Amino acid sequence: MPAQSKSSAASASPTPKVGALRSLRWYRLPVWVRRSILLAVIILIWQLYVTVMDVNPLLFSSPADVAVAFFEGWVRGDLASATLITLQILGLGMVAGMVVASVLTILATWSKVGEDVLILLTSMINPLPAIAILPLAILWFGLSSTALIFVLANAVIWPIAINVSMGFRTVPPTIMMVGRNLGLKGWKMVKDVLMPAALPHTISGLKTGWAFGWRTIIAAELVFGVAGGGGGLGFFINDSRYFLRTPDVFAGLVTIALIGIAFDMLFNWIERRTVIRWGMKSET
Amino acid sequence: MLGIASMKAKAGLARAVVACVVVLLVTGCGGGAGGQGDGGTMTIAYQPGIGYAQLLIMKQEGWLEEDLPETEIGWEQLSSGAAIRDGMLAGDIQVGAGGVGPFLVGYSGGVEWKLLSGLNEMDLWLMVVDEQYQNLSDFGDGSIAMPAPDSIQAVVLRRGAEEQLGDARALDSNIVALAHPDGLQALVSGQIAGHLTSPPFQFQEQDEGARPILRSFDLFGPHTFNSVFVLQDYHDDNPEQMEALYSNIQRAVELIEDDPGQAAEILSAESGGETSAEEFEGFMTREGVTYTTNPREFLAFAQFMQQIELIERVPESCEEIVFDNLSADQC
Repeated sequence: MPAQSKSSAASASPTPKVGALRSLRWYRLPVWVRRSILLAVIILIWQLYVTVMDVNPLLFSSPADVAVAFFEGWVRGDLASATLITLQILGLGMVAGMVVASVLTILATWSKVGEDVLILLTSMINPLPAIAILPLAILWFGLSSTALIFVLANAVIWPIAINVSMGFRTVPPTIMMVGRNLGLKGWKMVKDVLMPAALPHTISGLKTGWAFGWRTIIAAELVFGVAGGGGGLGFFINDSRYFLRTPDVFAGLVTIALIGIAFDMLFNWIERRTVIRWGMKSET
Repeated sequence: MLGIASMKAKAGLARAVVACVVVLLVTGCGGGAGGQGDGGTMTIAYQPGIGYAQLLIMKQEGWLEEDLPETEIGWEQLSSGAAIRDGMLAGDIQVGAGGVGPFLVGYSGGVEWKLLSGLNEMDLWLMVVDEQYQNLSDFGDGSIAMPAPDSIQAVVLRRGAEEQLGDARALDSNIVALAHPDGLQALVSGQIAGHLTSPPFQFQEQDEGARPILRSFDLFGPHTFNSVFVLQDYHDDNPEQMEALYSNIQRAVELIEDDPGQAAEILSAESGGETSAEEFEGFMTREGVTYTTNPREFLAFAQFMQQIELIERVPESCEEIVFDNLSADQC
């Protein structure tokens, strides 16, 4: 390899340490080191920009202010309770969405009519951003979290249904035939053969559904404008904007991003422990 | 990229990309400076409601355009004081009109602005429809709508809660933020329990059968509802525009006092005929509505807001928040 031969040629005179330094390349560093260095550089540039250009703090906060606001927000409990409320509503919305998606998918597997209904509904409703349904939901369900859960369920059902039904449809015919040989039919076939076989698609559907749901709930809370003590992260950002607490707005955004990253990592971990380990999906 | 073999083609592509980026940047930057006369631009932002009657009359009759021919006057209606404040900070809006709340929140946050003129004093009512709500302790879980978290209505409710329930924050979890027209709809259709709003919406709700159970004049005495504010820098750089603005607001007040019928006609025309002149005249002459250019009770509101921790910094004296065309004796 070029690096090795270089260092072995050079290490004839200089010490081995210098030789090792010479072979230091960006791509040879571990992933987390590279990302951390880049992140630190970005934050440094951000801080320099704010300090040198004397930016109006009401318009744009420096990383130092954001860090302080973030820390204080968690210590005070505002960010914690806001995050908890948002996650709670998202959880309920996802459960509702998963239930409806399961019903639709199972019906689609059992009959051609069911499949047609699923495909038709999906193609009509999936392109709609769920947040666009919020005004209707408020009209129907009033100013309660039911409206939010309805909107969330709508955001979550279609990605899950699409992925799971694709999973069901792409089960290898051999496995289906083995199942039939064993006398499995109807619900037992679904439970014992189709569902495990569709696991990679199910997890990927849940991941996508969660991503849509997370973005929708934050947007809905911003529009919904619930004030007082009962708001989630979207409301926290909105309220901070009304009271000109710009560092808090940024701190809220950082929290949203961090939670998004955390859940992504969680889903990846689940995938590694299940479908990748069992060879049902190749590692990316 | 993979399909392009020759160096020449690659260079050509690179040049095309650079040209596109340059064109986009130039057109993007060019949008900022508009072409106008020597007087510059003055964009005036206001909110929906008859609280802004003077500005609506000035806009409809073109008084400012007459007095300031060199200045490009723009008029924008926005939905909240916070939006107007954001616009002023961004430089899109030069003159803002809004309630006491957003002005004081801006002051506390370090926005360098002052009041150019009051617009009115209005009694703000908490309207309810249901019989079961007689005072604030009856609300339980019911929602109370108000226009924004930093609005004067939010402060009024806190003061009412402090007086009637002993704790300013007692009703915080009942508060829902809705714009005035949406709140009107929601109250009348039974979706919310109460609506702390302003004229004319509270009068419209009263006509639909709602009744007031809390009045802001009972808590704070007669006080300003809306006023006009300008950033210190813009005010100092444009004395001619400020003079024209203030004198025309005074002219509009005189018109409303001397000839409310005529004023109502102008407002009705401004609304595109959606609301009739009789309705406007009814709203403007109702009790608890006064049009005046003198601000009132700002310091009292500021102190209360500081006490309940809505803002941190409060003005010590009127000089800090009024321009010199207004008397600093009372605000």
